[in-house]
Amino acid sequence: MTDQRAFSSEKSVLPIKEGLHVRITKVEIDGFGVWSNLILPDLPDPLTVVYGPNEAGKTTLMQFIRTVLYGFSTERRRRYLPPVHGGNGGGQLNAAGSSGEFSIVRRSDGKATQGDVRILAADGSAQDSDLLNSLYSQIDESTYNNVFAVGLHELQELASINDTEAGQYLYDLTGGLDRVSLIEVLRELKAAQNRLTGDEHRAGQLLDLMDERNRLDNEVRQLANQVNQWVRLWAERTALEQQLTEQQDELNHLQLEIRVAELAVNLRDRWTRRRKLDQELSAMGNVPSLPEGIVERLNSLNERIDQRRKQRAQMKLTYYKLRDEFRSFPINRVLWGQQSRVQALAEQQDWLSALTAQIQRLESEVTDSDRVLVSHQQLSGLGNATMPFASGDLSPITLKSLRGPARDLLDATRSLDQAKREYQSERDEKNRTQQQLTKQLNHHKTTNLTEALGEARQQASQIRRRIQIEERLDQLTRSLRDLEEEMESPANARLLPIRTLALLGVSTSFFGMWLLAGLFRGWLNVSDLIGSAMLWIGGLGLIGTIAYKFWLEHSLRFYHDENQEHLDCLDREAENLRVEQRDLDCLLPSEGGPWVSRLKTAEKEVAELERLVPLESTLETASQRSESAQTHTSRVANDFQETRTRWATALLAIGLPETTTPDQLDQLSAQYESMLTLKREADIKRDELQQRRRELETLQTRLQKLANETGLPYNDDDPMNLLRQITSALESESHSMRRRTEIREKAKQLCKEHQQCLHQSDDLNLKRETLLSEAGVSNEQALMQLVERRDQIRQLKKEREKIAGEIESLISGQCCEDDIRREFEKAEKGSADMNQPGQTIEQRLKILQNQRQKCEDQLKQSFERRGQLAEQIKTSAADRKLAKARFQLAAVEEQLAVASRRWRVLTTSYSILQEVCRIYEAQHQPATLRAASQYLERLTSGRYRRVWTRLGEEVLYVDDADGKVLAAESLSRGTREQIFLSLRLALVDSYALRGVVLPLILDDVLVNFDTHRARAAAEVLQEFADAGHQVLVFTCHEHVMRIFQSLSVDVRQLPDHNDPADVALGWQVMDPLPTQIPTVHVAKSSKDVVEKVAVDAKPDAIPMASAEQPALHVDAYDEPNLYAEHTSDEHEYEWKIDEAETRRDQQPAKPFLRAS
Amino acid sequence: MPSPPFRFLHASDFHLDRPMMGITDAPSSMLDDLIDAPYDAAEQIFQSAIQENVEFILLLGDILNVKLAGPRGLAFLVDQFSKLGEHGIAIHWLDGSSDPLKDWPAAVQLPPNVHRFSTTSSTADLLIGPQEQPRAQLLHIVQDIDGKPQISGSPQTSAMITNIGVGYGDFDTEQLNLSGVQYAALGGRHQPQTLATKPSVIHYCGTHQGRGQTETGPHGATLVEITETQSVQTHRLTVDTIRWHTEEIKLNENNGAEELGRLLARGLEKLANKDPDRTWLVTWLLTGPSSLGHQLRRGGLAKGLIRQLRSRFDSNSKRIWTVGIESSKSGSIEPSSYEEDTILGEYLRAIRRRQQGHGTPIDLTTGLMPQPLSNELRQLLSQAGKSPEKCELQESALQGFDLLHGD
Repeated sequence: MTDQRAFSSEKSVLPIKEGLHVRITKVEIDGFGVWSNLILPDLPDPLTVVYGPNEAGKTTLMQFIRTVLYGFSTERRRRYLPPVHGGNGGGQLNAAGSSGEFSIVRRSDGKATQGDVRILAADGSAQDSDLLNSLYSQIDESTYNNVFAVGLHELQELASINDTEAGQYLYDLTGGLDRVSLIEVLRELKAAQNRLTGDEHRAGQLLDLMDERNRLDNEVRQLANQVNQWVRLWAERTALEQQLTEQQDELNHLQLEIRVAELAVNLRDRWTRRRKLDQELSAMGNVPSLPEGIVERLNSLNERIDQRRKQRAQMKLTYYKLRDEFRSFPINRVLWGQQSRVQALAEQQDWLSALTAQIQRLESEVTDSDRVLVSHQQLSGLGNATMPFASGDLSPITLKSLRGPARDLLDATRSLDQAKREYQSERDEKNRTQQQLTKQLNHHKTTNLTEALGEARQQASQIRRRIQIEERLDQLTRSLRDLEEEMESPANARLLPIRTLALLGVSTSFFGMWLLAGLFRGWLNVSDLIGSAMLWIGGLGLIGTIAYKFWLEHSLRFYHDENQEHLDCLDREAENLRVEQRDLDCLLPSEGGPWVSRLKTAEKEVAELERLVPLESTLETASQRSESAQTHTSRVANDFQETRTRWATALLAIGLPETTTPDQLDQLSAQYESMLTLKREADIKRDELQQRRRELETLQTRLQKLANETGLPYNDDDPMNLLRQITSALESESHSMRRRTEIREKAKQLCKEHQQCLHQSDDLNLKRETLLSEAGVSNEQALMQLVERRDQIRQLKKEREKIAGEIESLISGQCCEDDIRREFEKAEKGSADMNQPGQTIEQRLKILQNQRQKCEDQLKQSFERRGQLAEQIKTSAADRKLAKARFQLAAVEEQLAVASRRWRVLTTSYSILQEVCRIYEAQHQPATLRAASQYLERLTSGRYRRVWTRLGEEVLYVDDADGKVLAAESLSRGTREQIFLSLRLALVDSYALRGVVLPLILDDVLVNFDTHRARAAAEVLQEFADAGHQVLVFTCHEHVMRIFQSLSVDVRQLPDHNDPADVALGWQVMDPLPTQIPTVHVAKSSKDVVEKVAVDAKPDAIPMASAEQPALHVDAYDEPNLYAEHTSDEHEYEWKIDEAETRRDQQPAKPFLRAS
Repeated sequence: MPSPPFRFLHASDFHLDRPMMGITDAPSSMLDDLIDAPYDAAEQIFQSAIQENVEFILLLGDILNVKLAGPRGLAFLVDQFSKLGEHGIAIHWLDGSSDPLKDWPAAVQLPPNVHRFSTTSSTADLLIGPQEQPRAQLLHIVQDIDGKPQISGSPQTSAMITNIGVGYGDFDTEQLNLSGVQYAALGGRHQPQTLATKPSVIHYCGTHQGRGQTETGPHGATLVEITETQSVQTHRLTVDTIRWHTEEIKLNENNGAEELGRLLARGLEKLANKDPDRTWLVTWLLTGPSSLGHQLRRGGLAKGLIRQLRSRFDSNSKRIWTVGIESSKSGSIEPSSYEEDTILGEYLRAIRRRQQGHGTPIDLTTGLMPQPLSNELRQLLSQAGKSPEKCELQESALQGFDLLHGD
């Protein structure tokens, strides 16, 4: 109670700002729903409980208040207008505000939402609608409905508050104090963190970098292992260097041995020769000394003696040659005797030459004249034909006579050419037109334009007809369908509709009864006017009814038959059209697209073909002109032929060829004189030529006679050549005579020289004998043997020196003679020892060379391997991949470190911000939620202490007494409604703090509360009202009403709206009933509860808790509230209506908050 | 009689196997240079040794990891050592953590001019120079169980012989000063550093080629000259072909995005003129008061500027690649934001509580992991620790500030 007092005192001092203050004092309903002419006067100020059973009109009353303030919404108009019991829709609220009392009158005009609204002052004067405008501007209807005039449905739908301004008061945690949204910052940090670490959708930067680092790490590890390989290569190279040195030494040794062996092979001949020379020299011994030059002198004497002998022999030969030569020059004595005659003829040689030249010149001139004449003739076009110079027919006169025929021939030729050109032109024009037309027709795949045009027109017509048939068929089908539907409809059936029949039956029965009544009266002998009238009326009515029935049936039958006939007619027409359509489909191609497009194509084809018709007429005109030109050409050609015949006849008449043209004839007449002159000159020269030829023949005869006499043979008849032959023979004879004289003189001289040479030979023989005696030998042969022996010894010595020099020069610098000697000794020893055959030098050399080759190969391989190793070592050492990979790895590790550090910073920031969030959630909750927490604590008797929300979330959480955080949605329905009631009270407080003070109307919001909760709620509401708020609580539950009564709250009961008299009395103030707290039976269903409450609602029948029927348990916070599952029919009905209204008015609707 | 002067080269930490780090989007035209840079720089050192006619070269650890360098590294060293041998230059190679002596393949014989000794084995003192008149003695510096430097062997007392200590790792400077060596050549640190000059010169020559943003500035080797009087003179040989560099750009409150672009372009020109033959990997550090922090972080300004600066790479022979743009002020949030009665204020206060060690610890390894995760990814994300580091909390604060500020 201390808490309650404190709370109460706190609430009682709530400062209410100046602003919108409305307190309802009176309700007047002209007509609204079930209420008509209801006046609820004297509405108490703080808290009023309005009691009424279900369908008593409590919700209608709350809706009326909403309507007066915010107008006739569509739903309200539909539901509550027109009033059930008549009257005008609308009414008025009397209210008191800070500015005094006033009335809000709103009546429906049947159309507009706002209706007719007026503000009236207390004195009835109309006021400005500032009050309503102020209300609308600060509280919209949605807020009002969810905060100030709340039904059970609105209470449960917390989400609807979110959409209102009131939502800000609940969830705006920061309250606009900060510059940024903490949630946004948290989100940004989280996003940055996710970018680093990744999320379910993508890998983060850190993972990427780690992958890259691992990749590079592996690469570095692999590359670092290259050092082992490099070391192996290095070691191998070192070993190889050692091996190379050894191989090199071995090779050098082999090279030396091979060199010695090669030298031995090369020197073997010289070596053997030198040794042989030594042996020969020792075998030849010594030779006695001889005078120096004795051999030369002896040889000189022998040479001179031999020379003299050869000279003598040569002289003899020369003598014999001279003799033979003398004899080779014979003498033609006859010719030598005719020497003078030949000389005389030789003097005629120049004349003979001149004569020959004249003959040749004349022959040439005659030939030239003939050629010029022939060329003139050819120039005249006569060719090689024989010229009629001799006959004398060709003269200027005769040539002039040919001019007439020539002119005719020329004219005829020109006419023929002109006709041919015209014919060619016309024919070309015709061909062009023909090609153009053919091309166009080919384009249309036809050769005959007329036929193609006819076909195209026919096809277009058929397609057009086909389309018309199709349209007509569609039209007929629709008509048939409509007609069939019409005929099938009951109104057009042959039988009368049941309703008509029923009416007719009723009418028949009615009039029958009248008739029977009349007859009955008659039967009772009650003859009066009424009976007669009834009889007549019944009879006539019966007849009329029957007649009307027959007329109706006849009309129906007629109408039906008529329709049937129309239907048959339409069917026939449709069948005919289908037959025609099938025929046309057979005629027309089956493909080609829709008929409309095909019609367009066909019409286009027709139009294109029609455009070709003028071209065809042009072709016909061109053909006619061409034929005319051809006829004209034939006629001109005949004329030309006749003219040409006349021309040929005239030519033949004067001896000219018939092929001669008029132009050639003109040339011939122009050159006639010059040709005649040429002919005469040629004849003179021909005569002179004959004269010269005769003179030449005379001279030739003389020469031939001389040749025959002297015995000179001749083959050529040319006198000039014959003369030269004779003259030459004479000169030859003269030369022979001179040569014979010279040979004779030479032979004499030669005899003298031969005698002298013979004396000199004798002297030389004497000197040789003297020389041999000086040498002490008897003959020249002994002397020569002695000298030869001495020369041999000299030669051998010289040869040995030469060979020794060569041997020395060959081995110099390579080895010493001892090595060679040893090599020979080895070879000799090997060859001499037959038991142990050794190697010859060549064999040994070959073995050594093989060994050297092997060694060189090995050395080469070693060098190559060393080169490969060096290259590999160099390549490996130059490889910078490892350094590059380590550099990249360092860069990635740097990035990784930066990213990792950034993640740590982000995470630290995020952690700190989360802490700030918690601080804010704990210390900076909105004032509305703080107030709601106080109400909640009061309503739940301290079981729940705090209602709060998290930053950035529109979800309510509740702290229980143990500090445990629970989501509102996880609580029981009763507890949730306590929370929501707390929030409403807090929101009303919040609005009051902002200057908006409006009555709080709660319509059965305590229906789900058990007695304990209801009592707590009643106390809270009472204190809330005491704090300055007007509160209207509508309830249909008597126990609730009793609870309020027990708190001395003004409780009033609504009148029975079905009883106008009761309505006129207005509501009744219920007497307080200070009894014990009522309890309620545990009901099995909501209906039971409602019925039970309704039954037990009487004051003297309040059920008490008993062992058999325990009261609704108070500990409903943990157990499901039975009321939560069962609501009254009225609430269920309202819920549906309100749901529909909410759905329509608040589109798009947001989903319910989880707590709702 | 004075001893003849001589010179030697002191180099270390080649890490020939290690590529450039932190370059994630290098252009293809720069890729080869980035990969070859350690080798090119090392070759320059050996060339310099020949040109400077040094007596010997000291290689003090981490020259190459045989397992990761591949054949290229081995071949390179053998080739270079052979060339040095042809010029009579000896190499004394002390192994480090990544190039233990045992890893060198036995089959690959180093040239005879190379002398290797290990940090893990006791090595006899080595006399350098003619046997009858040595010029120097190499003394191996190792750490004893207590972490103090120990000299293997006894320093020569002769005025004719210079005692040179060689070591790999971190050593106590004072203890080294007492060791009696004239020059302590040390390896194992990538940035060049001279710890002492008297009485001993204690010097880390650093790596020859910077590999990441933490190794900015010039790198190379140290040329050491021992005079006749046994005094030690050092000269730096800069051989790095690619240089990491942080260039500071000072801003004021009035500087807008356009002005920032101009300042960066000017800085680019300055660097290009400074050393046009070198490739620069530049990180631009924006200092001074500026209102561009939010734009640089979230507004895409930094990305746009980087894109613009990178587009000038290799243009006009200027090889300056922008690695990134950092702002010293972009990491700060106005104190008033922490006091706001807003989500932002609440957020920043929650971060501050974590930074101060209050509040419920954040466990990044369990509840906050997105589900499901592969084991590998889970392992990766939890590698850095269960709870966010302070710097990560600061980044979260900035991120929240950007997201919740609402501008």
